[in-house]
Amino acid sequence: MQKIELDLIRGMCANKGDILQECVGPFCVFVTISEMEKMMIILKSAIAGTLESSDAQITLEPLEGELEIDIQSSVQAQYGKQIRASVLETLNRLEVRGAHVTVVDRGALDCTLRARVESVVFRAAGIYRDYPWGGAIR
Amino acid sequence: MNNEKRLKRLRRSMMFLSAQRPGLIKDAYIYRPDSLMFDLEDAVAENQKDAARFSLYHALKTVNYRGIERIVRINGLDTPHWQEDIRVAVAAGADGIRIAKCELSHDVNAVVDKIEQAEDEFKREKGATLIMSALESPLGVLNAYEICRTCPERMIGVAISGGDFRRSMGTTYYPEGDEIYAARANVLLAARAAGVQCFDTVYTDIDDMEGFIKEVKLIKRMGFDGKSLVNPKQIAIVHDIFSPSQKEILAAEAIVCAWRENESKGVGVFMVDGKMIDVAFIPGAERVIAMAKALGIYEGVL
Repeated sequence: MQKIELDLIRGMCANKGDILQECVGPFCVFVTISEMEKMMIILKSAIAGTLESSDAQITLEPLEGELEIDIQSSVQAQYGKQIRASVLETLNRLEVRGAHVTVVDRGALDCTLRARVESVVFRAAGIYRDYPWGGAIR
Repeated sequence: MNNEKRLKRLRRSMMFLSAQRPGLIKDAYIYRPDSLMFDLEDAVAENQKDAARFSLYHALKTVNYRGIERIVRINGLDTPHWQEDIRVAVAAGADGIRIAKCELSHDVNAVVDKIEQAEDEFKREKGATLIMSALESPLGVLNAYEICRTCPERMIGVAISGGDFRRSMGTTYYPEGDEIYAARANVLLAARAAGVQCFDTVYTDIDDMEGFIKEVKLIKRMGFDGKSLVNPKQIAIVHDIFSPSQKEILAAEAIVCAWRENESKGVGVFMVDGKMIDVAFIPGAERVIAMAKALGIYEGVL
């Protein structure tokens, strides 16, 4: 890759969070800037949420090329399908292509569930600022 | 509501709740405080700041808080968090932002600059996000007037934050309030001189209702507009103490009516129920009527 493009990517990475800075090097040189804008790279396992009432604890582990979702909930029979659909929809919206996700639900509202999935995905991607509020997060 | 009305709305009770706790934020409107304070600062652990923002965003976007004002307390300007806190608060449509540990008008300007950027980024109306400043140190208290006068089109007012203030003064809490009296008085004077609102600090011993009532009565006498609260059971007490009684409303009404009548005749000093009244009494009486109207308990002729 041309030096000028590498510098461009480095400049962009500085605004996109720590992780993209780390990945400049062997990996990032193969992606274009527009691809980098939308892709969500899962780098590590992460956890978000608590086991308190009205909350959900979500664990995410990197997985190659597919999405696996395990759900444990006291309201599994009534809401299991809905929880799965919400988690899946949020992962798709965030462009997560491969991950193993475990949800321990304690009666979380749908908006709480989405918030916890988003937390865990951005943690796993190592991104802690300049979130796309109102864009991919909505 | 236009901006002037939004700035001056009734704020007797501002209840704090951690933005990180779904169990607290999902239905906090049922307690009917005047304002809810979604905390991203001290009530959220350092390693949960990110999760609290997602939870705040979705709560503000999806929960109907039934007209209760929704303010977000952001992290201090000495942390790496405050700019992202502002982005999320503005994107989620918060009514206002509370600046923690404010010490200089420069702090207010830094926050306003970031709010303007965020209003632009998230296509919100310019000026939609109000601000208030929490004064938590001797320097903040001494600079209260300059802080109150910064960005008047957004500035709701100032609040004292007692915990940090007492620590920085080398003292601790006393039931009579001696240790914080100078700060309360100074901040009130500054707020009134600048024409903005003023709020007292939290009372953290939620089981000592007697002490709480005493403190609320004290700050009402001093002239505060309201108080920060940490528990829903404190709300009704504040509302009760801050609401004018029927007797007070009738007395205020008599003063305003008599003044209007006498003024048209060119009389400046007159008697109402055996007391000498002049123009100096009018703003106070009008304030009582305005509050009674805001509470929907005024049934008179004004």
